[in-house]
Amino acid sequence: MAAWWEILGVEQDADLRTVKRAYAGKLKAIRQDENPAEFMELREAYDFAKVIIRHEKVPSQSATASQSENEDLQYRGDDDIGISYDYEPQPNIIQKLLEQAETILDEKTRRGDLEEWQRLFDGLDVFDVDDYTQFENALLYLLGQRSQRIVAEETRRSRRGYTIRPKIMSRETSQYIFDYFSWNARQHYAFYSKDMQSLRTLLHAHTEESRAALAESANAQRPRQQQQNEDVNPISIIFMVLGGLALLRIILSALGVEV
Amino acid sequence: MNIVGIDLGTTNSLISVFTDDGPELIPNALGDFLTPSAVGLSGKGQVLVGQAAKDRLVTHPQLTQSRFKRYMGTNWGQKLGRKHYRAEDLSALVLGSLKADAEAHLGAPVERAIISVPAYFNDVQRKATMAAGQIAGLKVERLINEPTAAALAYGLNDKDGESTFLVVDLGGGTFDVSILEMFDGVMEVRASAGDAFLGGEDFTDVVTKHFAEKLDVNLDKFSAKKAAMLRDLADQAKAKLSSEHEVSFKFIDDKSNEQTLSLTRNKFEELTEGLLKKLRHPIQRAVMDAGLRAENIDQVVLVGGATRMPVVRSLIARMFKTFPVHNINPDHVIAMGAAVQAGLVSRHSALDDIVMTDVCPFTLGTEVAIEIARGQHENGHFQPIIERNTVIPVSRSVRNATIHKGQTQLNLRIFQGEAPRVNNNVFLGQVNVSIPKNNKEHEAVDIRFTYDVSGVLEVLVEVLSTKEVSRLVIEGNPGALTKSEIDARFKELDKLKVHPRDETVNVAFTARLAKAYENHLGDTRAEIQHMITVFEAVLARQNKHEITETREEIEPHLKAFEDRSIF
Repeated sequence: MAAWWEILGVEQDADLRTVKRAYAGKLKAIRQDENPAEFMELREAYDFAKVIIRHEKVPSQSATASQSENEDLQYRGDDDIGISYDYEPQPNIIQKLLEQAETILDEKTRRGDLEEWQRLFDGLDVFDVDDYTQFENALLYLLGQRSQRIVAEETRRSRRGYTIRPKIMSRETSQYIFDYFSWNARQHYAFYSKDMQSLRTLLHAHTEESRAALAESANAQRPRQQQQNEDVNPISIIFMVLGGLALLRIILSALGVEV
Repeated sequence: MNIVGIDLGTTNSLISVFTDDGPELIPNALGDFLTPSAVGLSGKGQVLVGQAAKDRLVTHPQLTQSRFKRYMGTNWGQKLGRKHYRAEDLSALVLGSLKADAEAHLGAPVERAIISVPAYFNDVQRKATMAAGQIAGLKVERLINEPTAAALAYGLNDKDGESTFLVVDLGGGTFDVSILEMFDGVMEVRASAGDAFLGGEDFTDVVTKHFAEKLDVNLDKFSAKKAAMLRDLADQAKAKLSSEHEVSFKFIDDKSNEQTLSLTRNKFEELTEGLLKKLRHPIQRAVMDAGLRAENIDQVVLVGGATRMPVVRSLIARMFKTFPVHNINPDHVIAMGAAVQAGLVSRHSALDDIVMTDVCPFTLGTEVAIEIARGQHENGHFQPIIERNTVIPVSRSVRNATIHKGQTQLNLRIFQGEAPRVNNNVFLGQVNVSIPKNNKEHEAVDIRFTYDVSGVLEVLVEVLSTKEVSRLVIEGNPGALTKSEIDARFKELDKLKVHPRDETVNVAFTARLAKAYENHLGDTRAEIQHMITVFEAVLARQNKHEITETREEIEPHLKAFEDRSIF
């Protein structure tokens, strides 16, 4: 199998713009319906090129740590269209709703009350797409954190010979929250995310250089994940596509959600 | 040879063709681009399609069907007269009527078509749509996702630009969101999400229920005629609220009392709050899947008649902090895009430098058992093979092994969805594979999923030791039609007497008169009755010229009555 730059007909150090132009040119010469195999090869090369270029471009000593962190975690994004992460959320609205969520979670009777959550989520209607994503991720993190704490506390109390599995909220309530954000779907999406999959497939098929580049980026990923787990500020973990999903597993089992 | 583009909608359908001047819509016998997706039987047992059938929903609810797109690929069926019709049959009749319109317009037979489907239609629904095309005598060259079609129509206006746009497509019965990126003549779908059971018709239902409550009637116990009438009025009220702040209309109840019903825009917003919430989620998911933020989206494009509702527009504007674009008529844009796709498939020279790539909007995979303890397996887990938002065509394979040594049968179940357990996903079909008896080791199989440009799935299972390949035949799925069933239905529907096309105008006019009659009482009703008598008498004399003249004479008076029933 040829290397991606050979398939695309570009230099190995081509930038994203060049790769895109080359891809467009090749694509126009292929009939997707008549030559699916040829198309798939071109497409994989293009997807792979994008991953490689994106990782090479990741600034290792960027201006702010949080910025590079987000960029890397969000690596399914496309640099070419100028994603910048220095946005200005409306911390007041989001923070207010998050604080409400915290209060609800801290009170045993309230956190199991479906209506409490319904009322809270009504406040989301005014959010724009970005605020909503931010809130959703922060809430996911918060739920994970609190569930772990509650489980830990309750388990300590029941050490006298028998173990009770602590119940955080009713299945109906947890199901409501999960359905509201379709977290079941998201869990799946993260564990088998498209980029991860093609990354894995391509790892075996391509040259040593690409493999090295990928290994490097994979290593770069690891320490960050740990950092996140220690990081308690919900707002700073907006795009924790990977870290959040590991947590989701814990929450799922803690809340006893049927998935 | 022309390839036509068809938008087979829940509420309305359109047909189009790609010409040297770009995409062009084809009018029906009434001169309209929109043909209501309604099918009925006339008093003489002839099949009626379009506006006439839609108007007869009110006067002859038992003899008329609409909104059947929602049942594509299911066992749903309804009787019209003595015959039983599935959603595919009814859709085929609509397609047949559109085909006749195109043949009359182009002066040549039409045999090949591109049909648009909601991006979120699953494999069964897609195959059902292809079957409907075949039953109508069309070779379906390609299915195109509706938001992708819309993007093609928009993208053509700006083919040299480089931009990212989000298409929100709220049709009569389905909701789709797609994010597209354009560069160097390539139109690439980045992500798609949606809800196959959410559309403008749901908004009408909510309003109908509200009116039924106001009238203090139980819709299920209401006569079919009155229920159809109330729904029709609710639909008109909904449409009118897009430009007015309040609407009222008169309704004649079961006891022949005239009641006045009204609805304000605020009340409408309150009634539809739940539906609006359901619109948000697919949008959030598409944005997230594409890894974008609001500011990276250059344009938000609105498609589908239901996006005319101010509540929908303001929700979108709030979510993206920008005003959505709708330069092309939201009812026409999908058919225009389908025509562009027809042009692409037939390699029209005007489209030489344009390519479009689409994605598979959902995850496809199989059921697997996972070893939870030594020698102990748990069934029901989902093994994704093609991930959602993978560019198509795509072919991916996985290798699985048998659970037990000596196992001779493998039952492979295919699912679509995003849940880790198959129970929560959509079952698409299954294949049974024979495995050679091997008591020494576990046998391995390769499972290959191929998803083509029309979004149709093929599954191949190869037993490694025997090299024997099984192909998936969707069995045990009550929704799917087999090849021979399609052929049989084609022959059967071909025998049906379809109302002659050149009389469509008169049939539609008669239906309109009858509907107006139902909606009024007293003097007005007597006047309409008079119009009906006059028109029927003229029809009986069969003088084409006289019929046209009389129709044109009555038309403005009828229009005045229609406008008066809703104000």
